[in-house]
Amino acid sequence: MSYGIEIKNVSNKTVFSTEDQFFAALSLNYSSYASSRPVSNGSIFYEWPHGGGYVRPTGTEYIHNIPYTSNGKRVIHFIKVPVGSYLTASNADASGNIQYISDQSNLAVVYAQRVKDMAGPTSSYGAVCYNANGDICYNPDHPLVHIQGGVNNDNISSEWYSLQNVRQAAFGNGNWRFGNPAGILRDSPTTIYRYLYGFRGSRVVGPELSYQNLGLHADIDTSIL
Amino acid sequence: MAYGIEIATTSSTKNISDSSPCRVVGLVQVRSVSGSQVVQGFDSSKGFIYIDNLHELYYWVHSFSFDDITKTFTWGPNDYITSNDNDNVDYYFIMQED
Repeated sequence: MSYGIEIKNVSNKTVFSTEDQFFAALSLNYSSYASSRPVSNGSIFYEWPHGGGYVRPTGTEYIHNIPYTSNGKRVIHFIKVPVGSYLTASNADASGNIQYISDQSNLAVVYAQRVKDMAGPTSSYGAVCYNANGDICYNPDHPLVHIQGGVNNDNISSEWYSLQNVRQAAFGNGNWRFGNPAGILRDSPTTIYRYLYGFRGSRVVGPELSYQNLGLHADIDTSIL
Repeated sequence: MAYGIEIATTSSTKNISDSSPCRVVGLVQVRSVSGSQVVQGFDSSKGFIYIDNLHELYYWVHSFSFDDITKTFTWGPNDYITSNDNDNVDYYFIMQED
């Protein structure tokens, strides 16, 4: 980079650059379910990509409708998923919500926005960073969302998950095809099962999905929200 | 902390450079059925694309590809959906390592 601030760690890896797009936590909200129903027979979470096992939840599932704008700007939801719980995302609706399904009747939801979409800092302390376009890329009033990876990664231990509200996408000549709605089930503190729409029953989840990323997991300091 | 920048706020101390293994290096806000855009800094072998579907009705998005040589992201109608093309999707380009 030829301008601005770039911070590297001891491994020479860039961990902060004013050329990056940053998500920051705007607010911490709580969603109460809009409706509930018996778990669908099609709700299966696979052990993929590590094995052929699956989990089929039972009992009641709760439907949440969570607004996808705040202050007139798009937000990305990071939702807390405790160990033993599951979460799936569906598409947006005409009322300005994204629909989620979970075994939790109440969800903790962090509304995250690109820092450039947020109002500027109001405090008189800290440091503000701007990129070459004059957009704010760091605002000390809001904690940064530390993205840890996609949910197809191993060794996931984050509490906060952002799932794609996409059921079908295709990459290249069908080699990177999404089969959503995305969903995860945390079966242990470090492992998850994935919900793959269209891969039910006896169908084998094949290697063609190895590039699939169903969402993000992140660490967020919510103590100041 | 052993490196980076730490900022003291009125309520806590925040480290803006630690524990962030992923960086969002690009955003393409697609508002058309097909097109292309250069995304410098992205390498598909070291990162992934996060899709935010903004469309209120369509749950499918584009078919897309990324050329690592020209750094060009190209999108078009979904290969598996023959009508009702989505034209309202944000694509975030996330690098997992440099």
